Amino acid sequence: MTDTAPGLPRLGTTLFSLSLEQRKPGRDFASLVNEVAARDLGPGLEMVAFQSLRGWPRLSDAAVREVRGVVEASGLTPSCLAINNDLGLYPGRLLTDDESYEYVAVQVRGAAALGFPVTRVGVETSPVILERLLPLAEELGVKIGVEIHAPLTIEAPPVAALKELFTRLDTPWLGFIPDMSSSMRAIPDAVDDAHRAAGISPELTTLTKALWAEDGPTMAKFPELERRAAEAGATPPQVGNLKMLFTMHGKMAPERWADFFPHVVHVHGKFYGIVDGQDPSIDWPAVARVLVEQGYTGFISSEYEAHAYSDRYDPFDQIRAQHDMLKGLLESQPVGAR
Amino acid sequence: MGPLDDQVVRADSLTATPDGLDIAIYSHWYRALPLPSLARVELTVDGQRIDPDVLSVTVNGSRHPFGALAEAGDEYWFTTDPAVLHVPVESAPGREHRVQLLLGLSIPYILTGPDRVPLVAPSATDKTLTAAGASS
Repeated sequence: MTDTAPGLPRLGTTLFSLSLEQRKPGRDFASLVNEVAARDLGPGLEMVAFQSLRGWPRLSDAAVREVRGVVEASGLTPSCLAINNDLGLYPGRLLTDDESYEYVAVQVRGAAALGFPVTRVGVETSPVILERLLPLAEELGVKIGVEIHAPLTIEAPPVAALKELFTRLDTPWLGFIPDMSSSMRAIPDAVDDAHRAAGISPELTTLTKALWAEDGPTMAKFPELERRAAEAGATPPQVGNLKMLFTMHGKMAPERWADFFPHVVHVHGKFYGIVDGQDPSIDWPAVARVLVEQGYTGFISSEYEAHAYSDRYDPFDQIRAQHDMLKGLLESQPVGAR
Repeated sequence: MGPLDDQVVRADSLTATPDGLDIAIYSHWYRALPLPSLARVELTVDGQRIDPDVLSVTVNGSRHPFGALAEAGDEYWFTTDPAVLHVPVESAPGREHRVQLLLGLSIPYILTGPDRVPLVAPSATDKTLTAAGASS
């Protein structure tokens, strides 16, 4: 296994990276897990329960045994199970607090049964529900982390509320899961493929990337994007696609991840492609510095997401390249920082 | 927008049955979704708009009238499984049909706007395909 030196963050993979691979004929859960292990892309293994586990959130005992058996035989280490709080499950209303608690609690119990030490929820899981889940997390020994994903940043009001909650409760069982989509330095080139397929002109793609890169809060740029895209002939669905780029790619300074400590329980190593050993859209040298300075020794799950835009790249090769880059960056941090 | 859009309706998705035309569709979202997430099915077959009220849908071996999906929150459409739309239009093995589909999936954990309304993720398909015969 490509493990990092003791006292450093550990590497791993989430099966979400293999979303297109999962659809290929002949693929099943075991074949994906086994290929991650065979290609030395552990030691951590994360997955989205609703993506990978048929029957979730009500797995039979036999299904639990089967999943545990596959993971144990692979030699990988369960790192995090991504679960969902489907508040908008029914049309026209949101789940009540009691329903939301039950919906998540069942899944935290499921994560414990499968041997995962951490679960991931989204920011739609309110501080009230999280506080209610704390006794269950403690009892099961399963941490619950709220993913901080674009467009969220440290300045977002829900994030401030969570920070206040975690500080007040002073518990290791609740915390944050930073996702690097919030702190990007460029929109990835993989979007060009998706735009071409959607009939969006290269000029519009260039315009959107340039506007994104300008100084100022991203949300304030929506009106200008809409106006200029419409002037350039974009249809309403195309404008929607362009706006999605602003939502999916945040611009927080990577140094700000330090402000989420000491409440970080897991890290998503989001990326959209490694080119010549570097990541053009995420400043990993800066992120690695923060994680090592903060003494983080949990997992960084490699989360390759360019599959949402393009099927041109091999996800296994991409994760290999990211692991090699991350191992080098983490191990080259000054010893004093560790 | 993305590589999964082209897989919503596949080359072998159409089957002629004694009741009409079955269309196997695949999700363009990465995770299993509860059945109420099948929020919008705007379907046109051979130029004829199909009222969702005449559709029924088979998922996990159970057939539901389209209008009943909204109540089926305990059932999930798994990532790699088809959902089969049963469409009351005449077909026969070997017949070609033009299928235009705007599938809008309500994403129950991504809430948007001040009213916290679930995001609807659209995927548009326009394909002309040949129906196979139903296997007995």
